[in-house]
Amino acid sequence: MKIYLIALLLFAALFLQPILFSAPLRAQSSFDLVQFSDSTKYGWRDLSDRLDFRADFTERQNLLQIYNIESQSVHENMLKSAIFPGWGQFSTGHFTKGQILLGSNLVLFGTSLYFYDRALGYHRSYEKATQVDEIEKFYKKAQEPFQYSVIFLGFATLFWAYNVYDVIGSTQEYNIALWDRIMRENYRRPIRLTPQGVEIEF
Amino acid sequence: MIRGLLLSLLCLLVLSCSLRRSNPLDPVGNDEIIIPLPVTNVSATAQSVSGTNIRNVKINWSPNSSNDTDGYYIYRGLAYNSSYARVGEVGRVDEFIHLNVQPNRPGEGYYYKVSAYKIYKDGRLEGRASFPPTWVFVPG
Repeated sequence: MKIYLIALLLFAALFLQPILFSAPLRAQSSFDLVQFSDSTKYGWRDLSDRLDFRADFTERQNLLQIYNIESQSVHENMLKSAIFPGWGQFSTGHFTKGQILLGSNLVLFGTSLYFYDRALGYHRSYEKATQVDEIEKFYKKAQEPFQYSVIFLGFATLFWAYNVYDVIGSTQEYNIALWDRIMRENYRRPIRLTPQGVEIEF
Repeated sequence: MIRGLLLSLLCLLVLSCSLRRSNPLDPVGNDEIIIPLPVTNVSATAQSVSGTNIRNVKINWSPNSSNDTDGYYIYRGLAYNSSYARVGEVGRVDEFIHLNVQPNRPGEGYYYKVSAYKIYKDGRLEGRASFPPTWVFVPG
């Protein structure tokens, strides 16, 4: 008897659950069918306008796909330039700028390293010195190239930071030029390259 | 504005950076280190060993206080501004005899300097040498 009762309760719970616990369904009170089907709200005067718009839109979408494939990411180029100064600029085709930035960074970091090495040499002599005058002499001798090293390292860091900052503009410039080129090439040529294939306009 | 800020940061970086004074004998910033005082009243006398051509030089000085000195280094140079070579070291005494000084330079003079040192656990710290150097003529 108990088993039947439990089975009945489970059965009832199974069927009543959607009714008891779900949100009640309500019909949408008002739907403006006229406004929904009004094509003039987008500035289309007639069906021909709408079809022209659609054709143009599809074409732009295709061009955008090409642009997305060929364009460069700002973040990626920033990372490149951060790892190796000028790399991002080389990627965007700004070779002169890339060479200048690479050269400047190499010279500044190299000079800083050179002075640091000299400072370390004198500092080693300072650490070995046991005579008062020599201790002071070698410390002063080490201090001077060390400060030069810090100055050059500071400038190198500024140049490095500028190089990373500059690549943002270079990449944007590249992408703008790329979009212009895609547009120009697409509208000039009777034969167009699209992601779907080749289109020939007669 | 930004350039000024960057240059100020650079100046601050340069001024705040300095090498560590890591020499344990460096008296700067280390109050436990006492610099031995310069040795004063240095005199030198040439001595001949009778019957031989051996010549010695006896150097005397005023001893420093035992607080700052545990011994002395003796240097010799061939000219006033030449480099000086260490020819001996002694404990807390006030004289040193430089033996057989001139087998190759008969009838020449020498310059002597003396400096004091103090022993610390990390080594000996040597003070400033006596100034001016003391000249002595050694007959041939």
